[in-house]
Amino acid sequence: MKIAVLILCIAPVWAQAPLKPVVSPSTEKPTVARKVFTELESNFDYKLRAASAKDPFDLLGLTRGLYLPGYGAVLTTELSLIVTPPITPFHLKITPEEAAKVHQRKLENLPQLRRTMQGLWRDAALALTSVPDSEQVVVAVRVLYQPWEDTGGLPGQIVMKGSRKAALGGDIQTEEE
Amino acid sequence: MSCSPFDLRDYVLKELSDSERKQVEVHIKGCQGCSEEWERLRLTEAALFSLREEEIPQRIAFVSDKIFEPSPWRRGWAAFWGSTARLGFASAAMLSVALVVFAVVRPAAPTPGPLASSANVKAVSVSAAEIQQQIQTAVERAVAASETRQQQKFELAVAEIRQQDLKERQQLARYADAALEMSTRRNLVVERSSYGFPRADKGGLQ
Repeated sequence: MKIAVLILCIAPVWAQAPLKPVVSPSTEKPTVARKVFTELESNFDYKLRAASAKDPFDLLGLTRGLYLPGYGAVLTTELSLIVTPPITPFHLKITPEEAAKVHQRKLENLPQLRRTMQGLWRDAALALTSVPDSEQVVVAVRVLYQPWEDTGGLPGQIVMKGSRKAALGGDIQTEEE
Repeated sequence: MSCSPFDLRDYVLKELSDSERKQVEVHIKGCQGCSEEWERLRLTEAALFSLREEEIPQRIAFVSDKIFEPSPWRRGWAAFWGSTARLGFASAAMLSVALVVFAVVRPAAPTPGPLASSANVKAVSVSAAEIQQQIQTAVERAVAASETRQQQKFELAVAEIRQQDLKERQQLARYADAALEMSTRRNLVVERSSYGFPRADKGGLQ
């Protein structure tokens, strides 16, 4: 009887947590602080505004950044390659000469946008330290046009992407549509 | 020279009598020169008779003959055609003749017959009224048809102008919409750059 009582008293000891902790696979996912993205977005907007002093880009949307778990960080924005002359009650018709001039100015500004985007992509890849090296950093810019414009030779969007690790080597992929 | 008692040419042309021919033949047999002459004449005769027989012309004419002179009619025509004054005179004469002929044979202008009977006058007045009526009707029809055509053209032109105007307005509206959208985006960029994004706790974004 005494032995039985002793066993009953000792039994909860076996019911306690094991002495050695069990090693379980980690399910923690990498996250990017909102503050990092906010700073990157502001930086992008500032650099895009200041990029082409002679014929500045017309920002038609603020930069937005987000992190896609398992893929990487994506930053997008929208702009026009120049400040396009609008239709107003005092300027109802765009002449073919004006349209040609606008087209020419946009063609001249396009290389500047590509250079600026490469710089922005590098900045983002270096700033997003919490994104794993193997994941992508994508910078996408939608280029907007007026309906009367000649868009020959001009892209609708430019996407630059590459892994964070590639940022050091400058290995970047560019897609234009 | 021949030493024959008769001319060898007469012998060859058979113009000698039989006795004369016999004398010539005897001589030819004995005379070498006459024999050769006779041979030549024979050859000549043969050549002459081998030629085609030509008819001897009946008459020989000269350029100075009267037969070659142009006829008086031809000479007159040439003289007339070569003279400007004659041609001008002939034209004036023809014109005068034509004027005279026209004055003589032209139809007389119709004159109201003062001696016409009353029945004839009535018939003429009735037919004139009918003609007037027909002319009036025809003119009205032509005017109506012309007006209809003009109206159709006008309506077509108006429709085209309206269509063009509508197209231009639609295009302008599209351009204006796009310009407004860009302007709105630009303003939004400025606003959000200055004041930040609206927040749910400030009643901006739900």
